[in-house]
Amino acid sequence: MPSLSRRDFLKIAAAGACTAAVSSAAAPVLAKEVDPLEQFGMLYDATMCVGCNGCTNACRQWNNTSPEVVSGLYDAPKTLSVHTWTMIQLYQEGDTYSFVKRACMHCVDPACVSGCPVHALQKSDEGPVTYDPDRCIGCRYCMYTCPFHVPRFEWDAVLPVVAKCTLCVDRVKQGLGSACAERCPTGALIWGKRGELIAEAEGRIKANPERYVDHIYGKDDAGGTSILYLSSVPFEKLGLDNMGTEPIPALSERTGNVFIPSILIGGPLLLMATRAIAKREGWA
Amino acid sequence: MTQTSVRDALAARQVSRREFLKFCSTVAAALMLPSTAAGKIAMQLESPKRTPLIWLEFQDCAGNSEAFLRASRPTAAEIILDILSIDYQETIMAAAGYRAEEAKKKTIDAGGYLLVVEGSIPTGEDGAFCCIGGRSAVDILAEAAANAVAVIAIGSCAAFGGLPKASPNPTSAKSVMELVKDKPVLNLPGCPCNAVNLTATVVHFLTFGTLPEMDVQHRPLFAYGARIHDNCPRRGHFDASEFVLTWGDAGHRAGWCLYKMGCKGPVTFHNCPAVGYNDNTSWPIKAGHGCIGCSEDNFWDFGLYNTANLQKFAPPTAYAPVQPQVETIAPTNAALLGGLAGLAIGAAGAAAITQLSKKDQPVESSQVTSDDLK
Amino acid sequence: MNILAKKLKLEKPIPWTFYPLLLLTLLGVVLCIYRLAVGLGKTTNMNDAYPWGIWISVDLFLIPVAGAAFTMSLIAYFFGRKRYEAIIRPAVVAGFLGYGVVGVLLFLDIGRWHQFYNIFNPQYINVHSFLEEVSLCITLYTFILMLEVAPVFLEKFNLKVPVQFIENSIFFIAGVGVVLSLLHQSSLGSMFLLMRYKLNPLWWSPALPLMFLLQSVVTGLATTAVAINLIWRMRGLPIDRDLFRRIGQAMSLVLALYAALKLGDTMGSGDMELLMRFDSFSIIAWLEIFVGTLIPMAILFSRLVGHSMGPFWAGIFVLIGTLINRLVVSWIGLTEPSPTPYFPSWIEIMITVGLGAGAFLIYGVIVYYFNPLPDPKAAHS
Repeated sequence: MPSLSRRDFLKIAAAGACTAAVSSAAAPVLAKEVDPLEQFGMLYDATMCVGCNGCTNACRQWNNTSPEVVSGLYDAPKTLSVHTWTMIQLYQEGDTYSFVKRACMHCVDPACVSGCPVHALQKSDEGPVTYDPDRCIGCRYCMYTCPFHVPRFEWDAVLPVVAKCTLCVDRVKQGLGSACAERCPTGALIWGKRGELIAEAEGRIKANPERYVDHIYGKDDAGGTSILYLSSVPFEKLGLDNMGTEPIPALSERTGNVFIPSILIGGPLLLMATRAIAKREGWA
Repeated sequence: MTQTSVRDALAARQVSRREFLKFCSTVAAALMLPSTAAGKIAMQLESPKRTPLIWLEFQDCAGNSEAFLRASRPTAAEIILDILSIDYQETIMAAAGYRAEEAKKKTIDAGGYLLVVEGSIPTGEDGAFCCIGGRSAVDILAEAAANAVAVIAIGSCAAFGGLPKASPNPTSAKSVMELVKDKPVLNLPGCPCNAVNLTATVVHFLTFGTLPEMDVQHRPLFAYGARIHDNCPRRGHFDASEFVLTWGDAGHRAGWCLYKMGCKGPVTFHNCPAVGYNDNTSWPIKAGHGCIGCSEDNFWDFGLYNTANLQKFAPPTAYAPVQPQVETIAPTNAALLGGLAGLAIGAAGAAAITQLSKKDQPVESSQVTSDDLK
Repeated sequence: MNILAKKLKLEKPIPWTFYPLLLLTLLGVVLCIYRLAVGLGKTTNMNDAYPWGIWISVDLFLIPVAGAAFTMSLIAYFFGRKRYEAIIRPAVVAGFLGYGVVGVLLFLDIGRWHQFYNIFNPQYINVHSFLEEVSLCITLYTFILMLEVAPVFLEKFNLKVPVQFIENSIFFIAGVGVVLSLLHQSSLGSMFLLMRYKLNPLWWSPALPLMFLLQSVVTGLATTAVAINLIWRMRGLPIDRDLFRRIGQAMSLVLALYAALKLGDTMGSGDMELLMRFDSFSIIAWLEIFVGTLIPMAILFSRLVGHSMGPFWAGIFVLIGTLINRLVVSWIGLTEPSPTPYFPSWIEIMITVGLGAGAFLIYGVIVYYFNPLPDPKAAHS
């Protein structure tokens, strides 16, 4: 049987090395050059929210999404959907209650961006996580991996799109605030630079320690999110679970950076080594 | 204090029976009673008995008196004025001085009268801030309330302390219910109170002999049971978050919600949207200005253009709930998949056990290896 | 039926089992077209809470099953066990058909299939996405498998030159195939690394790529054992006992490795307590351990490894275990804040069954009408 010629060996090694170099030098997916503290964000103070759903309506009006009928009720969504990109939910236990705004958290290092095979979801420099339907293949991996269960799918369409809050990136680019924050009548939802919002939130906790749980959700959670939350009840009750401070994609990307070059380089080398040993030992 | 029947009083005023019955229906509606109550009201109002009434004014502007007297259907007010025997009312009574005080004393001694109080009562400096006829308001009130059947505190000042009680309350003004503890007190707050509500309360008392059902602040539920916000014609704009942002803007011209302009509708209990003022000609929100909460305690300290605290009250019962992350297997799935798994594993297991426990094929006949195929 | 065989000029009559398979396949194809025409909402029960359905679960299962191809290639070409060359072909054909079904199911599953080629666009490729990496690898690997499978057809039509070319470069082809397989079998597991907070901790682990890789080797061996046993019996060939036993032994070794890794990982991450809870998930985990690992190891570490049906049944149980594992990882073990459950629609099931029937049908045709085992003369150059 012909053994692997030196020519073939060199070909394989070169291919392996090139691929490894490309994969490890690949540009990071998120805009790491932009300081997350300078990016656009929002602060939602659940203690000030009254559940008026003004934000829900403002979002509908700006994005032209239509109200839907859910359980026979008109325009009373129970959860996010392809037509409802933000809405308010209520946590109530006995006399304790709190509202919570549901929408894309626009993570600093999003899982969806790391997982999307075609970069349809990207973390823009301004801060919002954007979606490009022209790239999207509808694989729904983003829906699968999002720890906040945000992206929704247009199941009823023949060629569906993924839908989620855009953080009004089109308004942000013009220097305007997001539609929902502009509409909020009580000031529970405000927009601004992420760093300034964190400072504001810290100030509120300091000034009213009995009013707030001593934690700004989104400051470091899951590596940090652009939408920050303040609450008077434990965040788990509001559906915002403890996810540690490491960004979700960190483990995945670390693994990839180790595994892929190892297999691409080590694989062929191991195979050739085994073949050589096998021949020598007479297993052939 | 004649015992003229209402029938005759009506005839004397050239009020037709039709107008009288219409009045009874209107009052029945204001009291939130079914239309059949109109008949009962008519029957009661036609009885010859006339109830005496004393109307006291203390730290007041007489706004409530004026409101009642300015009722656009003077005939109706006059009906009440005829049914009731108003024995003492400083603004309108003809008598003055000692004669007036005598009339009042006679009524008090006779007892069985309704006491209407307008204006707050200053308690500072031993009551010196308001003295009428040489006596402090505190004493006058105590004396008048002693023999009254019921006390009606009309207007926000009498009901809660009103303007005199506003910060810093230099005269230590108090409300009627803070001073009268042993008699039923009904509050009709408002600045001024709505004449329709006073009329309805009185008619209720005359018809049923009791004061209407009250809330914890002694306000009759038929008028103060719902918030302005609950019945506001602009509520749809609130729900759609369409707010007026400055006076005269497009939203204002379109009649949008005035919440951001300081409307206290969400925290004010009153029936203004239903009955309006001046024979339902208009009311503040209809006119384009937010409610100032004039029927609420301490409304002078709210801050006219501060936004109301929307969180005073519990959330609605049918709100979209937070759905906590759970990991469950739907029972149908569990049953179906469990069943399938059980079947598959069971079948495989049975077949495997049967085949593997059997003696294997003899080695000799299958000694052929793939090498032999070469 | 013989009439049809005669009309097609086939050397043997068509077995009756082919007809129901054909019917199912045609039904599946029709439903595929329907799904592409009307969209996922009308044809599947997938929803926002469960965006992936059984098609993905079946894909996750078929990929390690089709890993039979790379496992046998590794053993046959690189460990130099020439004797296994005899069964390379059935393994490779099984692999090729498996990946074929995977490809079709994937195409059906993505919503914007009209842009599917975007995953090949170098300007769009996300090198951090394991889904992208799996897609690219599978595409390339399918081409490799096509090359490896080609001789089966080329020989039938006596096209000797291409066959010779492939045979000569088999090490390169197989080598690329093994590397690609190692990549995507492990990346299949890496895909779930992003799911730390959404997957049941009994199944999530930072070592998922390694676990999936080992599972794929074991499952590939299991597929091979089952497939060659079936082929030998179908074609009435004598069973190569020694070969069969060695496959069983290889399976047992890798199973032991896998079991050790799984045990160490469960203990290390503090999940033993979850395993001992005996709630529904713990029971499923135990079921998977027993059926997928312990029972096969019991068979293969005993003298039953030499039994003519020993490795076959061990293989069956391993396959069931892998199926359970992949079902849990992609569907049942998912944490979702929604009461909307998911169960596949009849169309999803029928398409899966139809495509599976199609694969079986083609496999049957190949085994029956083509030579799934190498022509002894052509094997020697």
